[in-house]
Amino acid sequence: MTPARHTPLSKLAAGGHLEQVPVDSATCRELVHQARNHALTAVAAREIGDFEGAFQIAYDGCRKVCLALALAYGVRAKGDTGHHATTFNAAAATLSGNVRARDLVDDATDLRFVRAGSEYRAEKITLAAVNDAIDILGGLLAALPPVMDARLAK
Amino acid sequence: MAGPPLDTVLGPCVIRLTYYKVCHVYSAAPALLPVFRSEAQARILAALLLDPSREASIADLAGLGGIRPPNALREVNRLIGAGLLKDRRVGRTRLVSADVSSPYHQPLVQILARSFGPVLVIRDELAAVPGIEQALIFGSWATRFLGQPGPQPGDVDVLVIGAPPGRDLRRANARMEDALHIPVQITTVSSSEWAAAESGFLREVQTKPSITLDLTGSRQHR
Repeated sequence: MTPARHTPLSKLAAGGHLEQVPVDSATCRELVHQARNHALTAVAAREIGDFEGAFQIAYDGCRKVCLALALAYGVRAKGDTGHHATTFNAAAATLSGNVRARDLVDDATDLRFVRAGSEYRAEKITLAAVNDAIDILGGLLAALPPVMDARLAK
Repeated sequence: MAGPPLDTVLGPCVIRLTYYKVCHVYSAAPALLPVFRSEAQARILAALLLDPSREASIADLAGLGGIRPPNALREVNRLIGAGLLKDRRVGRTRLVSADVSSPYHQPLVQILARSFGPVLVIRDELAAVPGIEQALIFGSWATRFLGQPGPQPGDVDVLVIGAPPGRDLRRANARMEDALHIPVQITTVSSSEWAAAESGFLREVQTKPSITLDLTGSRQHR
């Protein structure tokens, strides 16, 4: 766990990292739908040996399911620097009482190191990293949508 | 002048000096952050202030600073006189530690963590990750640390040799960045890739100055 991920939602907003947006359940559910499709696409890409493509789409699926949860709470990252990390931090902040789900969000957040290595240092993505990303996305898709639905039902 | 590698043990970290001339940095101001009186003083302060629970003897501190015990004693007395360190006696041994009540303690911790902390923080984090056979810091940060002047490094490059679990390594990477407030770029290669050194990247890492982290010592210390 890192200090950033322990930051409450209110502090992230007060720190200028988040902005408030109207809650739109259709948008939240569409993002989860896209993330589910990304999970399938990632598996297909892995099967043909496109590890870079498989990882990127699985990572994007992780980001979208976390964004869906943040949007269900009426917040999103401000669109300047570091907004991926802020999206993950916002999702983690909504899960203070759900350790398993929060750990999964932390694991998804840490995928940024693989992504950065691939995008900025031309490092090859390994099959292990792809499997991990797909596994984390699967976990997020099982854990986060129920939390999101409960929030949207309020 | 290039010469055969010379291994110098500096406390818990083993530093491979590719150039003999680098040996002279211990009596000069540190190139990494030349605001301290000497490299030895900076390393002693880093070792004690970044781990305020640590108590070390003069002999230990001499090893950490890469200097002789009489010189370490003079450095320690100077720092105690300034209120940055404190000491106590256990039998015939004088144990020295950080004086956290100093008004300069916290600001110095921030400076030391940014400048000299990476060797300690990265070593300790990687020592807790299974499957790592060897790890070293290379690139501009290592070059500055080993005494070659130049611009302040923007990140710390780390090479991990072995097959660590990805999630464990990434979690450790996140903790390093949280602690150091500087990006830590970790590249992982297998031991066979490291031995073969077929890529230009690995050949460069093997020929340029680097800091080999003593993970075994740190694991035993835990």
